[in-house]
Amino acid sequence: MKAKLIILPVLLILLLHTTAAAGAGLDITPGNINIGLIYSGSELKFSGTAPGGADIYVKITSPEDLVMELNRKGKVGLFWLNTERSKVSGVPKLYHVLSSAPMDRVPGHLKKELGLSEGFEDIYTRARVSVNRKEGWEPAAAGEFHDYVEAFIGISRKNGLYAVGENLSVNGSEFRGRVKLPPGIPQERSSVTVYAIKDGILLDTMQGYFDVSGTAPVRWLNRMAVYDGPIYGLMAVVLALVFGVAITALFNCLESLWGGGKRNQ
Amino acid sequence: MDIFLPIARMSVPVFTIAGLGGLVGLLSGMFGVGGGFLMTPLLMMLGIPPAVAVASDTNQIVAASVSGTLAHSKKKNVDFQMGFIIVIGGLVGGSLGTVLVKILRSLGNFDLVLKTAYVVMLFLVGSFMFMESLSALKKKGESDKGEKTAVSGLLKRLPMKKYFEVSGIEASIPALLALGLLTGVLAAVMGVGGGFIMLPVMIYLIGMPLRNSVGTSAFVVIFTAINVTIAQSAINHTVDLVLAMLLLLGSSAGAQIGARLGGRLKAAQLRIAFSIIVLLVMAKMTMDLLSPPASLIIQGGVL
Repeated sequence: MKAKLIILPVLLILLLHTTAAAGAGLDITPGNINIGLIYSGSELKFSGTAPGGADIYVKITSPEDLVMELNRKGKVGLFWLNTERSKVSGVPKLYHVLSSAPMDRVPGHLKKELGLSEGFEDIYTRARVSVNRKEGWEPAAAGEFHDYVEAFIGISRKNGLYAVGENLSVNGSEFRGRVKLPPGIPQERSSVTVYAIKDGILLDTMQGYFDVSGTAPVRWLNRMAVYDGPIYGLMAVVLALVFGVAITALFNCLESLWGGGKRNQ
Repeated sequence: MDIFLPIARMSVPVFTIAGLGGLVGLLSGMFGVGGGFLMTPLLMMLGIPPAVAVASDTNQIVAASVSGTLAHSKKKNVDFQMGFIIVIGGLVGGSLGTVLVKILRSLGNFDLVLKTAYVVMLFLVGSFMFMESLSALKKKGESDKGEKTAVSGLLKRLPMKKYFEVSGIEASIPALLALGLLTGVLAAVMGVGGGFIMLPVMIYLIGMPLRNSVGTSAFVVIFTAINVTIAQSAINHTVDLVLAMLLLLGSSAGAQIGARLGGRLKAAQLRIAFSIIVLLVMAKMTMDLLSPPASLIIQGGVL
């Protein structure tokens, strides 16, 4: 009896943890994406069940830890030059919104609350923008802030990291969708959040995760470049020297073979 | 076939990148220049972040220059003694130039001064070489014996002279060190490898024969590129080894072909080809500076 008292709560806790990680009623494949040297992006598939008749909206985001440096060009005399540097931070690197119905069916307050919009308005409330001035890095003024965030969203859209699409299919209470993730996806845990909305009312929310990590060579190269810069640089130089000499030897060898062939004819 | 770049965090087509390396290596072998002026914008056009493009390009220049130097040394066209003296001056100049950049930046409008100076310098070097080579081509029996200018004459009258057997010229050691220093400062201030400045300096100021200038310039560029690669890796962490390896496979092969192609051209023809490239780069830079950009805000680098 005592054993049952201990085992049952433990099983309950384990069950709760499992459903929280995978998302109750939400299936995400693959759960782990490994980025190796031969990698050109992945297709993420997800499916699940939701209250019948509800529109499904899905948000795929990475943690808000990106820092991107931007340069503003301005006219100095006759020339267009870089006139200002800025940093946009506190935003996710990956942000995809998918839906089974037009986005305008979601009421404004829900769009704002859930971060569902075609123009990524959510990003304007989360982003931090600092500008490099003579005195150092300072928060951007309101006008500058808008310009930089807008440019950041534009660059992310171009890189396939920010996207919006109505490509979810719903069949009764089942929904499924797929999304193409670009090679530049952040190497960390990202989330997939599903919202079931009917008549402007949020009926259900599900959340699941997928992990993105580099394979051993990719992780090693990253670690060396960041934490052992001088050794990494030395290694790069030695490899370049070796390749330079090896290619020369190869060409000399080919030339002597070619020359020998000619002489023999 | 695509390959993932671990530092740039994007995929690129293998053969396009190796092909770009080959094209720039061809120039490196023919003219003894690094080719960063061409490679960096091309990589950026493929979507590679600017910081990664600049740093990885300098790494591939090491291989292309080694390959070019070895190809030229086989034909006894590399003056290693003179090259070493210029390298010493160049490395000191590079360090001084880095300090100068800091001072100029603090004075403001650095970009304007720099880019104007760059365009003017390219215009002067390119048009002077073009005109001079054109008149040399018209003269029959032109040989590659080096140019006699007022400065090259002055260098021969300075103290601590040394005869350089490979180039067949006499030059003052302090003057060579000073020229190396000047090249190093200009290279650091303008953010280029130095080959573009080095070749005209060797031909018109030192009076070296063109073929020795090309081989010796490639030799000097090896050291400049090694210096910058290690500095970029240690300070900015932006050298992408996979990208650099793809580029250098192409560029080392291109440098071998370029050195052989260059050997088939007359010295004046080679100078004309080089001056046309200099003028084209100048025209492209001027257009970039004068025409309004497609977007006023562009990506600097992902931190």
